[in-house]
Amino acid sequence: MSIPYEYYIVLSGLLMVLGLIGIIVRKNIITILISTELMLNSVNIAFVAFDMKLHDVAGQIFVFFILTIAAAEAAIGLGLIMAIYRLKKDVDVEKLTELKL
Amino acid sequence: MENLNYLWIIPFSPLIASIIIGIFGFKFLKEPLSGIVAVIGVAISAVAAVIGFLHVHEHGGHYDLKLFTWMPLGDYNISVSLFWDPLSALMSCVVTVISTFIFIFATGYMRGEPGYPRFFAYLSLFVFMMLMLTLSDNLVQLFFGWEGVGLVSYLLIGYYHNKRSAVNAAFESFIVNRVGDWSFLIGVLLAFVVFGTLDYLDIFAKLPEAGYWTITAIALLLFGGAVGKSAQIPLHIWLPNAMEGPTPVSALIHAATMVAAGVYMVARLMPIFASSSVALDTVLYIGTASAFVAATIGLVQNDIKRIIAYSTMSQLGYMFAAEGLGRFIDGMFHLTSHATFKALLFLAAGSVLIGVHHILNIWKMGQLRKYMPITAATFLVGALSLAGIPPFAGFFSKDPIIEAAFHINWVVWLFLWIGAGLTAFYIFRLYFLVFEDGDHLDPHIKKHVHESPWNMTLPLIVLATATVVLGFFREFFFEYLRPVLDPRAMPDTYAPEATKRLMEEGLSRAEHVHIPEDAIEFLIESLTSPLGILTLLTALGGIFAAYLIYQKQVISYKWLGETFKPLYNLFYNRWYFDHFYYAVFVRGYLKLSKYLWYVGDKLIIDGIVDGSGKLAVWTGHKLALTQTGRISAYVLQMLIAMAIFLGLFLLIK
Repeated sequence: MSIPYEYYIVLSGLLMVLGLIGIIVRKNIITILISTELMLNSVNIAFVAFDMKLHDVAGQIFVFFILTIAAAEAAIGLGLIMAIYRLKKDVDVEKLTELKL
Repeated sequence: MENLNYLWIIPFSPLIASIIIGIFGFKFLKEPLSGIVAVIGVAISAVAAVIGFLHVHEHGGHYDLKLFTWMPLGDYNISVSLFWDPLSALMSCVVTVISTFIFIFATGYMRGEPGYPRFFAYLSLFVFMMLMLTLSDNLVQLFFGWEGVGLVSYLLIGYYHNKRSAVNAAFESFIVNRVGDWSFLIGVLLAFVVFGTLDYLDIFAKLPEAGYWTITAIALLLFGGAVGKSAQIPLHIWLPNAMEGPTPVSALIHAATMVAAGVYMVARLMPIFASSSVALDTVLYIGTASAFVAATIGLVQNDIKRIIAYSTMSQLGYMFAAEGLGRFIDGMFHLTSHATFKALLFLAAGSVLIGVHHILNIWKMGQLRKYMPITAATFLVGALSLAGIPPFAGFFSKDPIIEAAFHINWVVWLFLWIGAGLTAFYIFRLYFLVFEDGDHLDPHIKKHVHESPWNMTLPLIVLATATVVLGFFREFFFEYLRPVLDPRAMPDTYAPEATKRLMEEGLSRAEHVHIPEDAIEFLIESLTSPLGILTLLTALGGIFAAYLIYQKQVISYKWLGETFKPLYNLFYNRWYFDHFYYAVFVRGYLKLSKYLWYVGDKLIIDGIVDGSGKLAVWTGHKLALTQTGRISAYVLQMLIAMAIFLGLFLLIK
């Protein structure tokens, strides 16, 4: 017996919403980055769940790609955050508003 | 059919001359040479035209040489072609031969002018356009020449382009002509809609298929163009102002080319006009009114060129009257003789202007005969011809029109007859004031007055000789033009039976008129019949009155002017035509333009343009409020948008 795939989808949805809320409410840019990672992984779970349901390998392949890209993205994101921190001595998104008119 | 292909030389020789002068004139040919090239160009075409003229005289018939297809129009191809028949042959000869002499004169007249090559390039182009008009076999090519003549006349009238009045006159001529051309173009389109073709011969053949009022409408619309081009009432106002151009231009426009185009067009499309009595009546009354009004205005003008200009308008009125009376051959004959003596008068006036250094006012001249004997003598010949004194050409061409009018319509006759007397009076007023008594010349200028050089007097002498001789060829002209202008002598290939019947109906008004065609017979008749003697005496009376007033000064002209003050004012102000047009059209148009500027431009167009800009700025400001700079807000917006689109997607599915 196995766990029905709907459970995985619900978990994935919960993680996605948590990630979104994290991005919206948190002010620390590093936390926001972590929240995006959470969202990416929620998508991964959804992929794997559908893969299991449809008996298709494509979902797993997507997951590998996403993991790779997530790693690269985390590296770049953290690098950027380091650069911002050196420039502003701050990682609060409320204060990084140069692009506003 | 003999080989008539050489006829293409006639229009294209002046064009080639014009192009050569246009390209090389300023750099290489310079002053005498560009004039010589122009004269050679037009002389070649004159020789070709005369050879073709004699060919038609010997062999008769008409030849339609299609040069190439200009543009296909459904089933009908508009072609560029040469239509060579007695009428176009005569007109080509008049245009080219008289232009040749005007060109020769111009080489002397324009000496030392800064735009010398430009002038001759325009002049040659003018002759080309006129010949395209003359030799066309369809209405579109006619219209091409028609517009071309209008364009080059604009360029030539505005030749002194840094002189304000010349530029204005050029504009006026162009715009007034445009009114007539608009009507002409509508006429051409209507003809195409009705007949499905624009070739003259096809139109003539299909004429009986169209209804009477359709033909009348086409004829009247086409005549509207002729009114503009030939300066008839009510579109005559440009002609006297066109005197701003150099005198050879005036001679060219007035004598051989532009203004004759209207008369020629009516004769060319004679089957259309003759098929409608209403159209003929319109031509008749407009011609008569112009002849009379122009003659009265000519009485009181003080500008030497303007007097001759009004006489042109008056004589064109006589030509149109002749055509309206159904005597087309008389009209064309008067055109020919008028072209000769009017070129003579203008060139003589040009010679005077060179002599007195461009003073135009005739009250500041006088006794010029002593200094310029050749000019004076040739001018006298032209004036006598214009007044209608035998044996000069004007007598043989103008008096038959007046006599024919007496037999057909006595109201018309009355005006033409009075006009003839006035004509004799004003041209001799000019002659006496300029060449005879009245020494008003500035003594300073008087020292320098001398006879013009040979290249100016030679054309005068030739044209004066032609004026003396031409009248005696009256019968020759009648025989020559009969196959195209008399339905009874027309060949069936030119117009079929049914069309001829239509024409004869329209021309029946002139059927009972019998005027001798032979010049000598006509001379004898007019010296013996009361009507002829009356006409002659009127002309002599006009001359005698001018002699009494301006030479002997028995009657004071000042007293005359005071006594007939209202008439004098009316004539001097040109019957208030210009004032009326200025008040109604110029002012009215200005007001309309201002109104449209406010409503159309300011309100609607600027409203839309400015409004869209303002709208963009306003929405931009409003939307900028959503750009908070906070990432959380952006993510929220994104989320809401995604929710909306996903919701829509699910809903539609």
